[in-house]
Amino acid sequence: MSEDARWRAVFADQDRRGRWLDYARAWNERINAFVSFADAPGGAGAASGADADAGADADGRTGAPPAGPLAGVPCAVKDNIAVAGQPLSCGSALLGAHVAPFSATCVRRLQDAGAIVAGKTNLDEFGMGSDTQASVHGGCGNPWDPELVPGGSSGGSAAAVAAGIVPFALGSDTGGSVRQPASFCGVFGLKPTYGMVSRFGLVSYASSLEVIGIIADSPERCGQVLEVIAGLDDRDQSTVAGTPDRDAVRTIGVPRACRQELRDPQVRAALDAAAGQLAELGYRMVDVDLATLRYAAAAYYVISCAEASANLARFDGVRYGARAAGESADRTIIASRSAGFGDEVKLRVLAGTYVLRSGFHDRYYLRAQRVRTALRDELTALFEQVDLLLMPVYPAPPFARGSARLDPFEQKVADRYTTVANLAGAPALSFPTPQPRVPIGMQLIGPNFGERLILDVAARYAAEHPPARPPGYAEDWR
Amino acid sequence: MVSEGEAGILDATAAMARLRVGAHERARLQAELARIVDYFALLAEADVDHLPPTTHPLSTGTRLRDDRVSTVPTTYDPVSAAPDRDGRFIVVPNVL
Repeated sequence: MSEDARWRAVFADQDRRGRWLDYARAWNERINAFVSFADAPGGAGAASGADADAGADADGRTGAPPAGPLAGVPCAVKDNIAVAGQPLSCGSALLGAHVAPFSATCVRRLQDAGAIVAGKTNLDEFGMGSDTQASVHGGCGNPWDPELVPGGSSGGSAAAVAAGIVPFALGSDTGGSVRQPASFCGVFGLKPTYGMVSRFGLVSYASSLEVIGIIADSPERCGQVLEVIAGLDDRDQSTVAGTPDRDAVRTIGVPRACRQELRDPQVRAALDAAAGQLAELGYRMVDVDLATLRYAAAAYYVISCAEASANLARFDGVRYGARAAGESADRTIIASRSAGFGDEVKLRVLAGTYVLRSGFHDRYYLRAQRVRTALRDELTALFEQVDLLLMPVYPAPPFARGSARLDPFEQKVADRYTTVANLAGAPALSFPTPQPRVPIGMQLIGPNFGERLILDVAARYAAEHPPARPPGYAEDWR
Repeated sequence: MVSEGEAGILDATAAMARLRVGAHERARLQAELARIVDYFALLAEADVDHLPPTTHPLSTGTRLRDDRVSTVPTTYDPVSAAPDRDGRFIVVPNVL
């Protein structure tokens, strides 16, 4: 029986569906990966106890899910992506109990292909963070050790897949928010080429950088889901379609700077090991220069904070979410935003407003956009020499939760490897490497529309080095 | 650069961002904003003056929809999500 058929059998049978829900809830008590479970057609096991087959869903569907390529396969959706009739909190007190009135295009495409949205997953507020601790729903734990962070901001999605609750989940990747949690949780995380997947229904944070990505239990699953959700969308004018400019991978480059600056011995060893293992698979590994890497995180944070300050202006306590009392419209807006936004969101909105101020715009924002051009040009030239790049995802292994966690500023600087792909719009995949203790992932970055090339390499790698499962992972309930 | 002594800049920026900085968070936000803006100064080192700024990661231009009649994409009731409503109206404090 295929994996899809096994999942389909679970959700077609009430007893098995109940065992799934018991398994999911037991994990969720430990790791807080889901912020809500759905009352979806196909019956994901309603948290509210409602009859799953009663009436139409909020998108107007009735009866059994369609028999598409993902028929009966469950998935989870990060709680900044709209699923009609389900909560959409973005992990923020400001949105509170807001319920999405419509579904994101990618969610509709999944449901049209027969997938079952099992629930919404935890995240850093509005996708701003790298550890999924800054959430109004409380912090999320790593299935490998709940005292460690799962990464972020799509930590709930990565933790749900790693724990075996769902075979895939949607996340959003603005500066690494799909790849870094996938790396920390030992699963696969695909950031598609910018514009390949519609962002309609994704709550915007930094529009020129972010994409909806896929966290899955295999590279094949990433490819299968991408096939379903990718494509042009009249509701998102930034969507594009294209094909890769080559048909095979022969040479993979490793930026010298990564090897030179990595301080953590585990991550350094994992990079060296992955390069050696890829060489054993027949790929020619070469060292390359990537000079602009030094400026990637700074450029990313200038641009993303600037865009966040504009995008989050819509949260005013008037049209959505929680409203704080004020004596005038203006004071109501200020009071609602001040009470509703968390610490990290406030900081980024302030930083973005600062860099866009008259007199500072050229020094910061315009300069960051020129650095972005330099990085894009440098990657274009590099892909004349090599087919893919191999880089670390994060310069440190999964770190502790609570007061011992990595300082938020250090977390930002540590995004330098993942932000490269967002600034350039390039596709990238985080894949797990063999480790004795906690997961450490590496990433492959490719030329635009090179997802298939990346996934093929990762599939060959995973066949030789199958990902490990965390303690407590079980399939016997199926 | 935001120095920790320039409290006025924090307040002016917060006012533009429509945020109020409470006494309990003033020192922390001042320090964190100073730290991140200092980090942004790293960009001054980059030799990029000769390059045009990028505003979009792909050079594909703007894709336009076909010029044809279609239904409104989202036919939901936007008033339904408002925190304070009166029938089909959103209630807000007096503007004038």
